[in-house]
Amino acid sequence: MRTRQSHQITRKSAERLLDGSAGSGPEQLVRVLAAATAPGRERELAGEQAAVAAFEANHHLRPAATSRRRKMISSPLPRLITSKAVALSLAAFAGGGVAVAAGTGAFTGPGAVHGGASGGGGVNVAAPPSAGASLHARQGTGAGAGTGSTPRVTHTPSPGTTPAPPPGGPTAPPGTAALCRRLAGEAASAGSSVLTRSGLERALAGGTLPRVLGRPEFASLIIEVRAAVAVPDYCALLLSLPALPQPGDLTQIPRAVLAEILAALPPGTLSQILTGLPTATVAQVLGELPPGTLSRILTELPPSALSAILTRLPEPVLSRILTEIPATTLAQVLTELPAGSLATVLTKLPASALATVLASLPAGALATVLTTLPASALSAVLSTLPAGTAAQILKELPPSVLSGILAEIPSSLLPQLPLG
Amino acid sequence: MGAPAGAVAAALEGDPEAFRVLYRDIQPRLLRYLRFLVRDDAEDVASETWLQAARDLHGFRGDYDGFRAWITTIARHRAMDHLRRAARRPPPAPVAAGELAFLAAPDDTAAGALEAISTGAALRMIAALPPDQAEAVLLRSVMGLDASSAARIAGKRPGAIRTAACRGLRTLASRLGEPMTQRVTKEGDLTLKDLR
Repeated sequence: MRTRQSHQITRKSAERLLDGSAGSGPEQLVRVLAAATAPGRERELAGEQAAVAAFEANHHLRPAATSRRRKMISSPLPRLITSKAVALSLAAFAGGGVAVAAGTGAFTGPGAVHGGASGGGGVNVAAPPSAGASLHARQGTGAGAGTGSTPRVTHTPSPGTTPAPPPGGPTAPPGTAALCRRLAGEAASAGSSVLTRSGLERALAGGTLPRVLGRPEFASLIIEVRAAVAVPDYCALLLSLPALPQPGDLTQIPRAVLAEILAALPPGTLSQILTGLPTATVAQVLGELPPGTLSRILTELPPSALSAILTRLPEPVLSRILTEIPATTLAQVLTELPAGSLATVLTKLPASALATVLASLPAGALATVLTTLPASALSAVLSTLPAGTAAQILKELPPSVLSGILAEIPSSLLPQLPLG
Repeated sequence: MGAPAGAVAAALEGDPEAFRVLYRDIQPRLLRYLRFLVRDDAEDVASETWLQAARDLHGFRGDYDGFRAWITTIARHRAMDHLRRAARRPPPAPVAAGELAFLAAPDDTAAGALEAISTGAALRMIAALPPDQAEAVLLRSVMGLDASSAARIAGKRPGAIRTAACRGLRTLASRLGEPMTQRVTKEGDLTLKDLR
């Protein structure tokens, strides 16, 4: 290796260093780059099962070609059910403290490669198959010299580190799968005979299931899943059935149960669901939720989803939501919206709702909202408000904000505003 | 199952184990890139990214490099959402003194005895670069993207990415105390080359 004094970082050598194709380079710099691109550690892969479950929920029905399955894929509703089932099953696992199966039986990816690499000493052996060839190649150069024979602790989960996963599906508290099978068996009046996969599917989707589920012996299942309506989906997931039961209509689910399910979903899943539903369904769902749940949901959604949802809600639902959520939630929601969406939302509101909304905002949020609004929307908002409310709102603002706002709006509007 | 190149094709066919291979390969990189963008929210943003990728994969066409670029694009969009929400990003955490100590190690001959620099320390050093340089270095090296993919993701021209990445490495090297015998000359030259 050349001495480091001779190294120079030219444009070309920088490209080679970044591509990992440099034969050598400034020692310390090579080492930093190698460390930054070191193979993943186990704790970096904590979301693996959730990601794969989401993938399965979205994709495992695709190869099948029955019309029913196609329908399930194209309809937005199944996404809710599958995501819900995934979320619920994951929540159940977390609660039960049971390891989530990695299903690594047939897996020969980075983890398996790594398993054979621990004695190699070279770090790049632990890299994923071909990505490693380009991304981690540099580790065999500079870093190799630096780390010598000291093996890095860079585990990715391998079959050996995952506690006894049954292949194929997620695990659940012991006995749950058996309970699901029994539930399906009872629903199908199959007695003690073992149901086939399609038999299980039919039973879980069948009309007799709710009645059977009401028996005391299945109470633990409902408690575990937290909502009876979600039990069939949960069981289907648990039993690795190729198709989930025919989903019911989202809006038929009792309000309290729906609120609980939605409130329990992680923000990412929730926004995926709400932005994927038809407008009418979103309006109906959000329009019926109690303010507390609504508030929690709205504050958890990322701004993009929030914009997408609020801007397409019909005015009555929008008015109802914005006037019913607590002032702190309202402030958070409105200040997070980008200017365009904020303008759409506020100009949609009738005068009374607009007055209620703006009057309940804390002064700081009010200033943010009014200064975020484009001039045209600001004029529209101020001229819509009853004169008394406009005066009250403007009085709340610090002088600097007020003068900025007054400079934005057309002078023709000024006489209508009760200033002074 | 073969290389990630095959994994993308298999995942597009609906194979969950292929998707797992992609996750294991890309998630650590993504997390490191996202930590630069959104700090403590990186894990949340990464989860959202994978959920979106799982949902939208059927619309993706391309190879393994393309897939990395695609999911990095998703991740950056989600990160921007988070940043808009968080309003401002706290300054990067300083590198702990202990982490710098070994870097000042005197001699190559002692290299074998040196502790390996931790991934976290390396990433903090990169994150402490000027943001455009840091992002260029991360996209090019950690995400393993070529300059034109990195440029599309960062909303810049490829030349600008190359320039930023090169400057980033020079800055890193100088902060690491590497003697740079070559005068770091004429940064303007780089820009001119870029424009060709």
